[in-house]
Amino acid sequence: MAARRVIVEVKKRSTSPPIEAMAKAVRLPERASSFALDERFDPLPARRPVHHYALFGMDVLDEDSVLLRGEIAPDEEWQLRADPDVVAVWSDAPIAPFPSPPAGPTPCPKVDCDPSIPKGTIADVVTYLGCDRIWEEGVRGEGIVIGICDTGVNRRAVPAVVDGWTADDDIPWGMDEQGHGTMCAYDAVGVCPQAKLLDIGILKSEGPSFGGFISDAILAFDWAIERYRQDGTPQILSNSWGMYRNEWAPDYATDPRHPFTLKVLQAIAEGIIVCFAAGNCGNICPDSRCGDDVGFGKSIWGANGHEEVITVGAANIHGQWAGYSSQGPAALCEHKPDFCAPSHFSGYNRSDTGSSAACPVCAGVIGLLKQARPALTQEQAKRVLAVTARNLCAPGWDYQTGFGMIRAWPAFEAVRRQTLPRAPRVAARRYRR
Amino acid sequence: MEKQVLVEMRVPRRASARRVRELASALADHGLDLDLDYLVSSEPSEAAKEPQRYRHVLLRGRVLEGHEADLEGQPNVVRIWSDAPIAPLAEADEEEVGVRPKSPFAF
Repeated sequence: MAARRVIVEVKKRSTSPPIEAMAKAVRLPERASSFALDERFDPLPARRPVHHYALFGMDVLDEDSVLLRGEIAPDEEWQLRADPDVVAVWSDAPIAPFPSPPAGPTPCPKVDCDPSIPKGTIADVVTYLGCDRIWEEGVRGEGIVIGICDTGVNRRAVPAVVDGWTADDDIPWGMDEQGHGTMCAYDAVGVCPQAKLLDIGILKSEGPSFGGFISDAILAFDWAIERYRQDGTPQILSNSWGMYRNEWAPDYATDPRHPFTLKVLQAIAEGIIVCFAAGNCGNICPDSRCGDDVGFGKSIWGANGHEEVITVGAANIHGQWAGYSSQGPAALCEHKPDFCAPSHFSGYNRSDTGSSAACPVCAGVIGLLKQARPALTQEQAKRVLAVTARNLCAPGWDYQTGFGMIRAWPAFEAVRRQTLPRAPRVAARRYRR
Repeated sequence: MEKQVLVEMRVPRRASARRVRELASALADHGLDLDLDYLVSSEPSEAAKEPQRYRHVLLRGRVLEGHEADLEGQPNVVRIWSDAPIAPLAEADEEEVGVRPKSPFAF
């Protein structure tokens, strides 16, 4: 059997130089005879976070680990793993450059750049996605709580609001002076009508081109996490906000270690499903606030495009991609967006628009799936919506629409059958102009 | 010109909120105008091993541009992050807000 390349993580005393791990690795063939250490590869500190130590059987005070490279026969890997000094064995995966994003405007044959004209109503969206068939099965979002992280939610317009958090005590939860959050709330319960909502008002600051600060979002997520620990809600957080330009805060835009992004990952780890709108800086008809940051690789910033979140682009129910919907690759992940949900329909406004409207629709669909299968995880929700999505632009995944338009009914059937599909292939496609 | 920042700070694990604010107030000497109402626990942004007797917190404040490096050089400060401005991802047309069609749903 042909040897395969592996990365071996080996323990050492934290006070010792990396060469101590090298010395241990030299002895590994005594346990796995086919192992050949690549001595040209300098030991590299693994720098695991503290909470990994117990998981990997390491002493937090006296030990750390380094990465080494070598080859081993696949059938002897288990012997390597059994060595007490070996923390883990990883594939030294072959990698290749991703094909360049398309140079042309878009491979989407149909584009909608006129959001002010609604293409149907929220009721049409419900039918288009197949939510009405799910409702007929008696699943309408009972027991589901969705957090709407936004400008607030007008409780008179959307009575489903039961609690909330506010960044501004002068504008308590249940109030929305701007209207955007109320639109999002309306759209979420439009597809998931029995769900309850939390009005998580993070966007309540004043600014010429912005509505809040990421510090408020950190507090809000912290509040949601604490609540989830207490009563298991909200099960879903819908986020129709983001940064329009990298220059607004480059460290948040591009560094996955920014405290807010870590807080999002904490929420997901706790069990909350987190959806983000992709953004409105697609290259065909971007929002004016995007400046030069439009199109491929320059329009999904920060947590909106983290690998673990669900990133939702916008399209209409005629199968037309919204030409302003932000395009991948995201700053933090190549394969974004994940998929699209409907926008440009009459809902709270004459036309609910933006990836802002698409995100809560997706959150509402997930609410229905979550009621059908309460143990549904973030990864499972993303996977089932991806594999059941309908292509809009190009076959498979693409930088505009991800896997295409979500379809609630097929996703619901997959969830109900308890046979969640395997992860879809997301290999970047080659584009032709 | 001032900018709003988040200060990631390493503090004793058992330090009370009051004690954390006392520690943070010393950063005023290095240009930080602290928001005394803001304090939230944080995951460490660095993968480096942190002794168990410490935890990380976030504070919010304003600092004169150019003073971030001085602030970041203080022993308890792990990193200064942008308090990024964020915005809704739709242009709100105020005239249209609240113009709702007749809905099949019970609002």
